[in-house]
Amino acid sequence: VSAGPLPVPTLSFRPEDEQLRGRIRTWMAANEPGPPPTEFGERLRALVEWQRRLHGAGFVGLSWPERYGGAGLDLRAEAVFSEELAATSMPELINRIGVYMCGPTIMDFGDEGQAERYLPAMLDASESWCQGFSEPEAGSDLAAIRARGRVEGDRIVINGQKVWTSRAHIARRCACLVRTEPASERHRGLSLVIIDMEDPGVQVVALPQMLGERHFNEVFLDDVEARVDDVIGGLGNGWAAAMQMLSYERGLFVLERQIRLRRALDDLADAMIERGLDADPLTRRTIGGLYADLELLKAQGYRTLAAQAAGELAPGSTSIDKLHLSRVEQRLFAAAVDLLGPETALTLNHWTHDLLEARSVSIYGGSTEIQLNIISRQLLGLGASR
Amino acid sequence: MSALALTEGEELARSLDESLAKILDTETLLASAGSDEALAASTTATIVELGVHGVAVTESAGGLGLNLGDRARLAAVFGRRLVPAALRDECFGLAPALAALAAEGSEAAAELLGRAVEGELRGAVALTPRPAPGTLDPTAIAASAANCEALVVLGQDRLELYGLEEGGAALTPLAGLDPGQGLSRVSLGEASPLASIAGAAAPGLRRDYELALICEAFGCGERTLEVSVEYAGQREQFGRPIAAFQAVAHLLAEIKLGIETSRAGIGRFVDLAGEEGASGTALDGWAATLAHTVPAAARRACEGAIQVHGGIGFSWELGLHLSYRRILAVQYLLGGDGPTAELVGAEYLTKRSER
Repeated sequence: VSAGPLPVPTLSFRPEDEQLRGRIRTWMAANEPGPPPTEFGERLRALVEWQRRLHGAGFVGLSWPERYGGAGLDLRAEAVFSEELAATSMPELINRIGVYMCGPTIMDFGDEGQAERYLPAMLDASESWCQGFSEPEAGSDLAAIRARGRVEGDRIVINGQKVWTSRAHIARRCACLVRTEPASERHRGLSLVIIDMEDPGVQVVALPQMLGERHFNEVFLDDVEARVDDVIGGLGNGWAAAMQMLSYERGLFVLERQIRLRRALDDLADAMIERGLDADPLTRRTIGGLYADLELLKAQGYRTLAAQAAGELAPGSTSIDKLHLSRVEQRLFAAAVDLLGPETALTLNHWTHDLLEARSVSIYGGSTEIQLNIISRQLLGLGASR
Repeated sequence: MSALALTEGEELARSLDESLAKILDTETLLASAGSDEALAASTTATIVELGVHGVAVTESAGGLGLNLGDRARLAAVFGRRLVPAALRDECFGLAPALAALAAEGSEAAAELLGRAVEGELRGAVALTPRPAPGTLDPTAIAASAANCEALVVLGQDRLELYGLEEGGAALTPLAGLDPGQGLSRVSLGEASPLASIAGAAAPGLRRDYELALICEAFGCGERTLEVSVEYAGQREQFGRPIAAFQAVAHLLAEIKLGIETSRAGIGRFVDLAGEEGASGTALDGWAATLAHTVPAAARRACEGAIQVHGGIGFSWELGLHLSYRRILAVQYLLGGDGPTAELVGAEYLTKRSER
């Protein structure tokens, strides 16, 4: 055990990145989509249209190679886009799972055929993606995957059930983790297979979350046919590919999330100013503490992206981003509702909506307990503990 | 990382860390704390011989000409090894302040500078509390060695040098939380400064000194985490190392979270400061954020270390209290947990209301 590096590099933007920022900002100002529809289904459709237009303007997949429809730039450009997108009224890409997670994983682990078949349609959201990882018996213990893939020549026949599958109901493709070696256990014998959500064996059943919104689903797989050619990283290498995909979930995503939280803090600050409470010491302390923690979240996000860009991202390090994000997000909305008082707390509004929604952050993409396990094992080198 | 891949600055930090570890062993530090007396002159002289007084001074002024990143790294080493606070202040506060004053034409400072860089001048540094205007708060506390000759006051937008020889500015020793560090109450009385700087250079020097304190707390906190991880891997209870218990492992992981976000924050500050046209206001904002978050994370690390060590952690002889006292001292020299949050909040809310 010894001292870690100090100071660590964080993302720094060059003049060309700032030029890109200017271009995006100008375009956004002229094309601001306006607030999204409140009805959930309509909102999704509006988001698909928004990504299509963003792609038309050349802003989606900035860090992707040009041959896959990207702009051939680097992660700095991607960060600039995320930051500018987060400042709009529709701050996210509907196919973010495709663009930021499945796409890069195919580029890292997949082959040229898969890249050509699937990458371009991710960018304009003509094909949305979802991630088929969790199962009823494989939540935090992801290696307990039971869904089976029976290899028959060049086909794989898949049976099983996935759960908590975000956006499965609007997805055309699913990167699905299944057990393709019948006698295998735990992390071995798994494969990450691309399945077509229009296959007649796929049944998607909504699982409304606690806000009543249809974010995630149960997915039943009944003799679903996929192709061996569509296994990302080859048969039996599913665990490594899936872990890579999860680490992508904690890179740009955290940066984007941080900007949205900063906007929420701005709103809270403005509300306190409007009430004439901005000189109140308790208000200042609470808001100052949140502001400082959000600044650290941004610094950590920039650090992760700099490491990712340099190909030096340490295994397990993005758990820091995820854990800090969940802490700040939950604290922010709890503090907001508390500062704004019963009138806000007792009505359904965006503050109380986000307060409820914030409970999901410490569960999705690896719960807080799993992140703590990863940090203690991979970053501190402590032995296994459960 | 292999030794071959180390930069010059990293190599310097590594060798300083090794040397200091030998000089400042726990027994030596405990003896000084126990009697509330500074380290023996011979021990201090050994540290001075390492050339530490030149770390924050430009080459033209006789120092090492290190960049901000290297200075941050060395300040963290000071924290890891619990270098006496008075030495820290001479290296990261007094010497660079004298260099700046000398560059502005102060003969008094120029006369003292050479001795300061050689480590032959004893002097103290007082930081005025942030939200106050440029004048010194009469309750300011500074660390000082015996026979102090000079006092530098780092105000919000003003830097002043005082002599301590005749009546006027004075340092009155007090029973400090961090014993053996010469913590003293500062009073300026009717003294007038020997030299001063008002304007852009002053906040920069203040910020650099604050960053040194912040990095010192960071290094100190990170070290206590290392010690805890090692101990948790060795100490057995219920037939296995306590690190195998999730309650312990997760406590250490929580500490790691604070240390790593602090590391990222310091990295961000250094990167921002290196950018062309970096604004002083933006850097002040970052420094305030770090002054609030980093000592707090270091404090949690040390409190966790004491907890993980159990009874032995609370003992005098293990010495974790030395780290704890130092981190607390830094946290409160920078204003304290609540007040620093309040300052960050006040600045942010003011900016919002001016929109």
